[in-house]
Amino acid sequence: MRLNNTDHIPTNYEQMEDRELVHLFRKKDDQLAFGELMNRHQAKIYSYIFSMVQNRETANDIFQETFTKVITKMDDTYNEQGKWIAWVMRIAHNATIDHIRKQKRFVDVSSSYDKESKTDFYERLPDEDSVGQQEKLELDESTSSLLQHISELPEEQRTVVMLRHYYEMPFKEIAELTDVSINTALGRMRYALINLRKKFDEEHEKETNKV
Amino acid sequence: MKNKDTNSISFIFNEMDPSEEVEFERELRASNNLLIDVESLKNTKKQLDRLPQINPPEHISNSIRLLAAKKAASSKRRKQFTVYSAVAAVLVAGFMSGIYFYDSPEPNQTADQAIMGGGNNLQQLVVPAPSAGKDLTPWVDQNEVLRFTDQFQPGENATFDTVFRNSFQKLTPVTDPVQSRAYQRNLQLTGSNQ
Repeated sequence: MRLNNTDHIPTNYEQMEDRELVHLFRKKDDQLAFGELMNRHQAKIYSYIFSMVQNRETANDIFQETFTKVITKMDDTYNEQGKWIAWVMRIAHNATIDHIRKQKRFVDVSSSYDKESKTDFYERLPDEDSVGQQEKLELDESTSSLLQHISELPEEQRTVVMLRHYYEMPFKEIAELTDVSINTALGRMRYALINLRKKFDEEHEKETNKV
Repeated sequence: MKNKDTNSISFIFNEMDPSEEVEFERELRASNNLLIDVESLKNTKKQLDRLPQINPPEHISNSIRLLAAKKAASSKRRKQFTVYSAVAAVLVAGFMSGIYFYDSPEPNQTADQAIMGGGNNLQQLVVPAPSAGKDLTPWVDQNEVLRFTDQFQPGENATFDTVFRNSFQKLTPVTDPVQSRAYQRNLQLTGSNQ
C-alpha cells in the first residue's frame, strides 16, 4: 500500500508496513496508526524487558518509560530511513540495562568476589528479587523453569539470547546495539547456549534422582 | 574464542554466506566432535522456542495509547496554530502594503511634502502660504542682532495697531534694577516702525 500526499487516511492499517504507520503518526497525527504499531510490537518489547528484569512491576515501568520516550522523541530523534522497531528496541534495551545497572549499584559490593565459586559478583547477582516472580504470569512449569534458567545467565549473554529470540536481530545489529564486535556477540550466544544446556542437564538429573 | 566456535553459532542461526556454509558442512562431515557440538547447541536453541510472548497489562497499554492520542492532538493544534499564524501574517502584510500604496506620494510631490503628511489638504493646513511677491531676507547688524523687514499691506493697519498695542501693554517698567541685574540678558528685543 502506498501513501499519497492527500489528507486521506487509510483504514487498513494491518496491511501497512511499519514505516507507513510511523509516517501517518508523525505527519498526520494519526493515533490509530500508532495503535497498530503497538499491537504489532508491544508483546515482543514487553517480553524482552520482562525476560531481562524478571519482575512484573519493573517491566511495566520500563515498558512505559520506553514508549513515553518513543512518543515524545519520535519527531526529533527518529530517522525514518532506519527500522522503527530497531530504534524502539534500542530505547528499550538502554532503559533495561540502565535499570539493571542502577540496581546493582545499590548493592554492597564489598563481597563482590566469591572465593568458593571464584565468580564475579555481578555474574551471580539475580536482578532484584527476580526469583519466583514469573509464577505471577501463570506460566506452565517448564516455561517457568526456562525463564528461571535464563534469568541466571550473565546479563550480556541474556541480552544476546533475548534480542535474537524476540527480534530475530542479526548478530551484526546485536553487536552494534551492545557495542561489541560481531565475534563477541556470537561468542556470547555460544556461552549462553552452553550454560543453558548445563542447567537443563542438571535439572534433568534432579528429576531422574527424584524418581 | 576460536573462529570455529563462532562459526557453529553462525551456522545454527543461518547467518553464513552460502560459500561459508558449504565449507562448514564439509568440516562437519570431517569432524565428529564438531558435529556433536553443533547438534547439542541446536537442541538447546530449540528449547528457547518455548519462551512465551508476554503482553503488557491492559492499563499500561491504554495509558500509552492515551499519551499518543494527547501528543497527536497537541501536534495537530500546533500545526493549526502555525497555519493560522501564517495566514494572519500574510493578511496583515497585505493590509499594510495596501495602506502604503494608497497613501504613497504622487510622483510630482517633493519629499518634504510627503513627510509632512502625504495629503495635499493636510499640507495646506500646516504650512502657511507664502505672501505673494514678498521675499523675507534676514540680516545681522553690527550689534549681532538678527533683523528682517516686513510690510503690512494697506488695509492691514488696524491689525498692526492691535498687535502693537497688545505687545506694548505686556511690557512692565523695571522697579528693582539690582534684581534685574541678576538675570543675564541674552536676548535683545528690537523693533522698527519701518
